Amino acid sequence: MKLSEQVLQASLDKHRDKLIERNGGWVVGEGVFSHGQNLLQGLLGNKSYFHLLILNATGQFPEDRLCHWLEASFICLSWPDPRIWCNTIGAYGGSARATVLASTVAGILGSDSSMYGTGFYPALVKYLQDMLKLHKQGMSAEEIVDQEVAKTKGRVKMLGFARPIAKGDERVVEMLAYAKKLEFANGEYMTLALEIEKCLLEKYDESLNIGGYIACFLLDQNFNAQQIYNLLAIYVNSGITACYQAELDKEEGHFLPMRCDDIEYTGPAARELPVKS
Amino acid sequence: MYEYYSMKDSDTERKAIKVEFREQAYADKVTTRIWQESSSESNPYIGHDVRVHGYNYKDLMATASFSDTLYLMLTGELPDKSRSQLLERTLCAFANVGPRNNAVRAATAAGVSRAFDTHVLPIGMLVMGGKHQGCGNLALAIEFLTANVDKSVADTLKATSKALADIDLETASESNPILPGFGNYYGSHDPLAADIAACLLDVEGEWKHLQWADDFSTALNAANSEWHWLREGIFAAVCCDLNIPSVMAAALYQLCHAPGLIAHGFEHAGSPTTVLPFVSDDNYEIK
Repeated sequence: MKLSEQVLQASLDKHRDKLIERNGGWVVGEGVFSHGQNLLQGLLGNKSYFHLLILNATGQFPEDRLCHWLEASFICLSWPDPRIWCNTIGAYGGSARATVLASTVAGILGSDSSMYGTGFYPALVKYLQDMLKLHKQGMSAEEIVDQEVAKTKGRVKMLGFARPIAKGDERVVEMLAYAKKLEFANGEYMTLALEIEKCLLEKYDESLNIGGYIACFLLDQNFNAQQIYNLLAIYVNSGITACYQAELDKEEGHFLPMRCDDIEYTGPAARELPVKS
Repeated sequence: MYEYYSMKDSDTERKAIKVEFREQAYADKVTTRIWQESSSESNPYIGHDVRVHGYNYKDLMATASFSDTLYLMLTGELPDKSRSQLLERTLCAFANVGPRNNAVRAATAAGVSRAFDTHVLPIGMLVMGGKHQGCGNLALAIEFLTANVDKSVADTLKATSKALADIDLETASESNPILPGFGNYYGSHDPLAADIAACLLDVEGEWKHLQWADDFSTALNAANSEWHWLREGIFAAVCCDLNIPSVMAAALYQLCHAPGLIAHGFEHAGSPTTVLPFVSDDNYEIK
């Protein structure tokens, strides 16, 4: 047996039939624990669900104001508008009379997207880290904007800035104000993002979007890319459920129903199947 | 152009643009080159005379195999005899990965715990999308094959030898592949992958990617005895040789595995939950 095979087998064998080095769990007769916190006799009644969410997602027990901030950001991302793609999926689920879980989970999965929602956060975080690195190496915000926009032939496609469907982002305005109220100071990521935004506004009429704002804020709180992905995993869920329920309240199949001639066929003309030899 | 928002309790003012729809031309209608139907005269929601990529669907049902129909859906054309045979064998070869695979175990856990019957297969398929013994790196594997298939195996091996020399083979992970589609299976080679590759290469036809990947796997193994091609790598080569669009490859991989996910997922459905092991408190360790 080769060495690497031996090492891997030993590692796998250590975990066979055992769950070791867990961050928490249910100790029957004693309680339920997460990262040293007692859920039923410590958190329940004293702390919010968002304390537990942050604890489970990051292993860190948060201060109250961070929970308030995260809860506010969830409100920003759960709109009951079925025209938004993840909500569209939830609405189809309601129209098709799928269960609320199937529909909501399907919608959340839709937001695991490289374009919007939660799925693009790992790439977004990497991008913002690269931008900050460039800035620390001496590149100004304006030079960063010029460099990045030149890469995309004059169009603003910088991750965390601009936005599909609409221009501007009202959520950033509200979240900046709320963070201020909670006495969070802007860290290095947010400061650079706002400097970049200033250049983008002047030159291209584009601004920081909610994804960029949230990523910068959480990076400034020293969370890493995976922790941020974990924290935001289900943040669109409530809007999806709302869109699901709205269809459930109607007759089945009534979410944007289509007549046959609502579809335009663009494929090949009618043809015969080849004769089998 | 701008509206100015005063930041509450702030010393500074942040300039923000007024939120408004972008001027974009959205399509008036959904278009498709796959499905054609005529509208019933009495009810515009009822379709008939359905054609798929131009072929009468009723004729397809009566004469075409499932794999040929699948190929038509994905590529727009029916396969020739050799491609038909390669896809048919691929569907069989990847129909099950056995009860130790994470995706299958997820489906089994769902079945035993009485998840609704509509959910068991999607649960397994989602986990099958992972990078470890799943299809999470399939796009990368296709990219690797496409970039190298016209090069000699020796040149590719030479080009990747430094990366291979630098990695720690004991901890090399499928989740972060050096050579997508190639690696080791539990630190060793995968005999089933070798059987699958041999069975597929046995199909008569010009399988440029499969043959190149097989040669590369042999050369790689000679250079480093623990590395071979993985099942995902074989599947990537099949997709390339069948001209399956790379964006569809992972979904096809999930679909191929559906029979095993369904079979294992429901194998113990209806049994008490004690049919599966449950880790005792003695074997549960909290840090």
